[in-house]
Amino acid sequence: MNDTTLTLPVPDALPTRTSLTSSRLPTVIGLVGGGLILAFSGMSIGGTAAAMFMVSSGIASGRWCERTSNMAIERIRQLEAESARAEQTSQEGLSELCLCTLPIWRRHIESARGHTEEAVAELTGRFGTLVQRLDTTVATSRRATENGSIVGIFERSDCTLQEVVDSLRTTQQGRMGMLEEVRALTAYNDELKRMAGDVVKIAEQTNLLALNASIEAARAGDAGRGFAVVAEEVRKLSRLSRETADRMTGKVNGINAAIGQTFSVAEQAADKDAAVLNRSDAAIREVLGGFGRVVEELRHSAAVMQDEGSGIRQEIEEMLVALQFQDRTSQILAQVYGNIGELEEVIGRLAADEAAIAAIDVSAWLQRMEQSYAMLEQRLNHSGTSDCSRVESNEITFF
Amino acid sequence: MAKTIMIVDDSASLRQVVSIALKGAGYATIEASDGQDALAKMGGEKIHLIISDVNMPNMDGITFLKEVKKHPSYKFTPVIMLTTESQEGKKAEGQAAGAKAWVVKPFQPQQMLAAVAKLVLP
Repeated sequence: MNDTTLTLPVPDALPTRTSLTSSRLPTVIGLVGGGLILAFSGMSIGGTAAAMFMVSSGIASGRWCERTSNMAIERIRQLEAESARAEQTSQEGLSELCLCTLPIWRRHIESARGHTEEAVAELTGRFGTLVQRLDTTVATSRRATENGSIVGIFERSDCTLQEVVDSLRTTQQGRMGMLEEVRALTAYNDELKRMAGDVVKIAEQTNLLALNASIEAARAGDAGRGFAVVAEEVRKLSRLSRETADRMTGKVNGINAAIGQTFSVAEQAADKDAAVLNRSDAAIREVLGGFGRVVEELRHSAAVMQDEGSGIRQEIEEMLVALQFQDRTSQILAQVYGNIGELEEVIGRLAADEAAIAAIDVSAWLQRMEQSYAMLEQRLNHSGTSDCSRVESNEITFF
Repeated sequence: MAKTIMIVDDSASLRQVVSIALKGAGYATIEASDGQDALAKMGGEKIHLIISDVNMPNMDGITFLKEVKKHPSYKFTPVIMLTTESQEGKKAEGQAAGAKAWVVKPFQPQQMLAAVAKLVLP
């Protein structure tokens, strides 16, 4: 591919210069033939006539051949001139074509490169925004399920409500204990009633004793009159004691009835409180159970969202890695763009100075091209000896 | 306080790809489009690491690296070269100029982050 000259085709049917020497051959043959006829005919009239015919035929043929040759030479000269003109025109046309098309190609390449860069940059930016929004969403979700968040609040609420229920249950148990204490008081009342009964018996005995004393005082006459007064007073005291004992018994019975009624009312209230407490406990358990399921679902969905978020982030990162092709494409196009520019410059010089074609060193040109490559891919493309689709990557060298 | 990493590349999309990966790992980033732009943006700010391309207009990566190593405030800042250039000669040039690592594009973000975590200043 190092051939830099252009060659125009020459028609195969045209005679060449070397073939034109044969135009004199008929004259020579005529002269030689005439001489030989004269020599062998012994200068006879027939021989002389034949020799003259031979010579004249040779000369005529020679002249015809010469004329024909001259015409052919002229024609060849014309064709050579036309060929030279055509070659010059062709070179000029090719140069002009290159000078016109190469800048257009460069503009197309630069335009394509610019559009790709712009589009990929925008795409990358949008992916970047997606990643940021995804990170924010995942972080928010993570915070929602961490301690101090809704899950933490639920767990603390569960504990607090349980403490309230326990506290109410303790209070209820205390009240029941107090009622048991009140119930124990009725035992003292029974004792008081027995004591009042004892007082009544003592009063009756005392009254009987006072009666006997009065009898004995009456039997003693005047000497017993004072003792009779004392006996009468003792009888009065005995009666008062009995009346007091009766009132005590009445009071104790009243107190017993009041305590019994109070206990009954308190017991009913305690039963109601216990029922309310049990219902409250059950309601709290049910509500907390519902919230617990909601929180668990929330925690699960948050975990799923975090996992999905991480997966999507990874996918986007891989897509961003794939978008790095743009940088490689841009470098390849930039190299081709520069190379076309150089070619355009050279063709411009050729158009101005035909001798400059001799100065083109194709090997040096290709070497410069190779030196301007940054990627293995470009070098492989240049040599065309290996798989050009192979792209070196993931290579990290620490110094 | 997030550590700051400067990204120098003439490709806006590449800068964004690197920036997204670094920001996702908690780093702050400064972007520059070539060596000159990077030197202009370095104005005294603490930079914990520089990631630079090699082939760039105005000032290429190797020249920029040499300038960084002459800079009194940044001469100890580690520099990672991130480039499509994989020739051993170029790598040797980068090493001689003071680069700490040579990463060939396209890169995997996780590998890049591992290299950054290894080299970033405390």
